[in-house]
Amino acid sequence: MTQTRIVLNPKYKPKAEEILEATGIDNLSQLFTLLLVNYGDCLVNCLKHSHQLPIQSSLVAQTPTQNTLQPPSIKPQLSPQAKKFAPMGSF
Amino acid sequence: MNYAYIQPVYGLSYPPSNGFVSPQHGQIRPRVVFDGGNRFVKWIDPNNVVQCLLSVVKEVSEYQWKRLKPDDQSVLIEIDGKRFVIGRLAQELGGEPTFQTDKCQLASILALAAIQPNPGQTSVHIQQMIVALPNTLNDDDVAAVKRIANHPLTKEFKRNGEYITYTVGEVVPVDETEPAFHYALNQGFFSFPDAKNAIWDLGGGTAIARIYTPNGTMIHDAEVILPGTKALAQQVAVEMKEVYSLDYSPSLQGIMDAIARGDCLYGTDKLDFSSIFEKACDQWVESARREIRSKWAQHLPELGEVLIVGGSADIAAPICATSGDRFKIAPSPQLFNIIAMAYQE
Repeated sequence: MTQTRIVLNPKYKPKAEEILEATGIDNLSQLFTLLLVNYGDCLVNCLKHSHQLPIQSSLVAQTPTQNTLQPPSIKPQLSPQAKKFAPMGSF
Repeated sequence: MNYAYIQPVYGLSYPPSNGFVSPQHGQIRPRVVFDGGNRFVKWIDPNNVVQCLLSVVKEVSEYQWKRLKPDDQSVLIEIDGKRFVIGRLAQELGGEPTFQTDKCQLASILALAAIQPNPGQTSVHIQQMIVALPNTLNDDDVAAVKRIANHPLTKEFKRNGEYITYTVGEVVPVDETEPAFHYALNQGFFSFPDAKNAIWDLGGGTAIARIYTPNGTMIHDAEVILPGTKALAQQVAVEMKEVYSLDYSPSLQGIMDAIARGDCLYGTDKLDFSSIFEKACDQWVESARREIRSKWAQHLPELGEVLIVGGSADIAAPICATSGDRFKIAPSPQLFNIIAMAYQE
């Protein structure tokens, strides 16, 4: 079998090892192959059409801060009351 | 539990899931809002908390970099072999305040402070970055902020020692007063929503007042642009030097900080410039009053209210007092713009 060697930047090695541990994948070569086969097309789509990225629901639910919190808001101190308009006087 | 699809923050809608599994789901931020003001840089972080830093940038040497002690009022950035400090520490290291340069040209550095991945992630894809500009018709300013977008490429930098890989899909410039107008209208801040209303944004560099029709059209001829607190600080500095017989010029940053604190005490000697500031304010208010009356003469009979926002809003209090509540200062005026931007449609 013809092999192709791939160089992994050392700074990403901890992340890769974290994935190996979490998934039970045996080694970096298998990890790369799995990523390529299962997510290669997805990567291309993400980069080409990022503005229309569909979000897979059950996965999004795992990122709670994005979905449970709303941006802060500022409300009027008094509830708005309809007033009869009169031209502005001097100021 | 809702497994149909999750409505993202900021009201942006996505098509329902079609079974397409994206491995980057946690890396996407649909919208990031960024206000790189002359005095403060503000943004809303991934936890929906408003963040605010002094708008000062300092590029530092490798040796200085190794001696830096991080703090919560500063952000440390390493990008393209350069090292920058943004915020309080930059000011203390003699960095240049944004109000003394061109904030749009500095935007590509300042905006890095706002590029934060979602919790637990080291990569972020920002689909839209909304950036406030004094005037979106200024092509140079627009071009400068649009350079932040890099899609489909990715770029890497270090923020506070952490590697971040980011892509910004699109930069959307908005006029500084526009989100505030729409937000104020939608939240019921205006007592006469069917009339023309105005936003007056009093900031460090400029004080911009704009009138909008009920449908959100800005009346271009009624735009009033006055100097902000920087001009007041300059006047104070000149007079302080004379009054206190100083052999140096007081720093504008120090004066503006004292004004923001409300104590008008400058430096370690605590030089009191409150009477000088009061006089300068009176003159500023008078000139603002004249300019607004003149520029808005034909609109005043149809004008509902003027909502004052921005970090220097309190300076306009004398005008509010004599206007019969038609000029009014927004609650949390310093944060009004950035929060309004988060709700901009």
